[in-house]
Amino acid sequence: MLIEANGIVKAYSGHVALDGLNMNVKEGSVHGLLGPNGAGKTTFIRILNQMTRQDAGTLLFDGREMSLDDISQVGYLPEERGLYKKMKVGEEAIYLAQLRGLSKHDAKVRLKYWFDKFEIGEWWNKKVEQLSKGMQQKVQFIVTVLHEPRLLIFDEPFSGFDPVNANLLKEEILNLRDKGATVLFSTHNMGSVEAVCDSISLINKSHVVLDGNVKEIKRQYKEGKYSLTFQGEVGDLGKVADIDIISSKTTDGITEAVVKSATKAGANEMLRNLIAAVELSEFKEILPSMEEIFIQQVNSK
Amino acid sequence: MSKIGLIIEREYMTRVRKKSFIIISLLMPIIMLAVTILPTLIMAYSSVTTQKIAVLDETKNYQSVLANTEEIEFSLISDEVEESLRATYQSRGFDAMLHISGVPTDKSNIQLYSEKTLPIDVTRSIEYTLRDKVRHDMIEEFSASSDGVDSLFNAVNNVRVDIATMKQTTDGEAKEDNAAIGIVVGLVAAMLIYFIILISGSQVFTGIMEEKQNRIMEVLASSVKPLDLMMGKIIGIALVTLTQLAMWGVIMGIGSVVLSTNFMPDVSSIESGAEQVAAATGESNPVANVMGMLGTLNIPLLISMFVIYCIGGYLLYASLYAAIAAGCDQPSDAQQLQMPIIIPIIIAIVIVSSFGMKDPNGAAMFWGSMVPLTSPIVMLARIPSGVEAWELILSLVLLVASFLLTTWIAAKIYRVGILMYGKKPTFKDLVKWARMK
Repeated sequence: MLIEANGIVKAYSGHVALDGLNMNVKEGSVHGLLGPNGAGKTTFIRILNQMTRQDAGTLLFDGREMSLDDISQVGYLPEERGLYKKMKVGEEAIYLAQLRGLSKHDAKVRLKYWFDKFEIGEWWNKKVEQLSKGMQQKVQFIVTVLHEPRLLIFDEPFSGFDPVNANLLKEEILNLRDKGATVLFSTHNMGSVEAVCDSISLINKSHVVLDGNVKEIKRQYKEGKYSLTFQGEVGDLGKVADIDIISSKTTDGITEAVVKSATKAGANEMLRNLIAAVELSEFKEILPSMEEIFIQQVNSK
Repeated sequence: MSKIGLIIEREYMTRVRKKSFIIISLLMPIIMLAVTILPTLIMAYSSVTTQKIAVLDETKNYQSVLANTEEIEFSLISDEVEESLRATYQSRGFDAMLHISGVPTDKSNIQLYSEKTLPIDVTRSIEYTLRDKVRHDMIEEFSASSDGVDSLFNAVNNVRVDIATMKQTTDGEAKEDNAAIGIVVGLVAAMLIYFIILISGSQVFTGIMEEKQNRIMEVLASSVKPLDLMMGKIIGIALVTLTQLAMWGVIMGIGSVVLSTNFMPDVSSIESGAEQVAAATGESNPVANVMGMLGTLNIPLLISMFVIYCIGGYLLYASLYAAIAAGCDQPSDAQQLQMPIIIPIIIAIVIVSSFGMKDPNGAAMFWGSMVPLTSPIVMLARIPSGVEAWELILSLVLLVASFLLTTWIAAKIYRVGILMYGKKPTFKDLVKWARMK
């Protein structure tokens, strides 16, 4: 485990932002930090960055109590991010890299590599204010990962990116993970969670209400929903026991339907029941999306 | 390089490379030179009016050499006591009164009373004439048997006449003129500190607010300790200001040397042929004359105190500005919150401008020079007219103690404030942040 947080408590005057938060993040994984606005995600990220201290609880980084010295091993791309508008792009990137502990020379060499990779090399001597928003965000991303930190924290990284660049970013994040970096990924965008996260923690009202491997969570929350295609009318399904029809559509004697087992029956059992009643041509289990799980969890508590 | 060094470097370099910085650094001293020198030059070249001077020479030895020139008309008065002449010379149509009671190399033996300040070359012309007379007398008294030519030469060379120019107010009170110049110098120094604190302080303010507004603050705060961030900015901007002052000093220094050598010979230099000419023709150098009068002030003390109070006052105010800026992300919020900082600066300048001239050592000026928020401005206005050592030390101790305190508190507020967005902070919030662990 790269990060082990135990019983983290943080209260601001009058309101408790985190109330005994526990979270483990495995080294080399992409971990999603989910939760509605005001759940305490940003507070936890700031504690991780040593920008503020927890009131109680322990935070271990690589097995040791996390301290200011570990900051050089963390790269943080905040949700509210900006650059000095009047500085030249290259100078500013070098400056921010130096603040993260890189030497001027190393910063230059690595920046050259990344600028070429993101095709913004010719902007090196331009002022930041001349860059488009997307290009500024590329620069911010580069500066975040430049010092090759072990822990990368991205807060809503895709906001403001067009789909092409969002995809580029997603690939880079997965690339960095494959090279050994651990990524903590805070977002509201559930689609991107399914695309990149290995595991998640869902925070609601200062507590972690759900955490674990994404695939396991989805299995755990499956509701016995299936999609199927068969020859015949919807009425034919009436003969099947233990079935609720959620939606259906019949064209030319072929029906596509989404059904749900009232007893949350497994695929085999459902299949047996269906085979007895209709001529199946397609059958698939529908797992709940992270979005559905998110909404269900947040609303139920 | 340490991180605070990096921050100082960035703050400094981005500002110093700005066009506006370079322009102000070059233009300002030129304007200031023009403003100080032009009136003197105009006065010097346009003063063709003849000054009537009543001369009361108790020794009867020197009055004979005072010959009328185009500019000066001497009238020798005898058989009258100094007091009565001083009371009446104006009503008798004289512009000034010269009183000689002994050898004029001793300042207490020679005074020049006037209601208005006389053109400086008039004073100089009298001084040179009398100096030559003293020299003449020395050579006449010389006998080869006594000391030898070398010692005579040295003695002659060392003769210096410095008239005490006494400004006579309407109520008859006479004051040495240089005191007034001291007060003016003090006022100028106080104003300069006022501007430096106000301008640099608000630079700290806008610098921090910019970082919040363009949202780079959170990136910075996750890489650097807040204290480093704050101090880096404060020190960086201080260095920019010092650089600017140094440039002004150098340019004005060079400028006044060029002006004084080009326009007229330098009076403060030891005897030179050119000076003799100047004396003989009654012309002299207005620039050098002002310099000469400034020479009677304790310049090293003034400059060192200026630098110390300037830095101390700046650190005090800059940390207050930083604390408040940390909580603001809208310029509109900022103005209201800046008010409590600006008020003491304005109080200081009000004290100086209403009491600095009249009563430089009165109660208002005394307390103003002790309270740390006003002392950098008020004390500077007092120093040229003379301040007790204990007052100076106490005021400095208070200033240092309070800027250490404000920096400490400001750092605490700053640490919390930079992460707060979207809500205009109240002073209650600031207090709360300062007390947060």
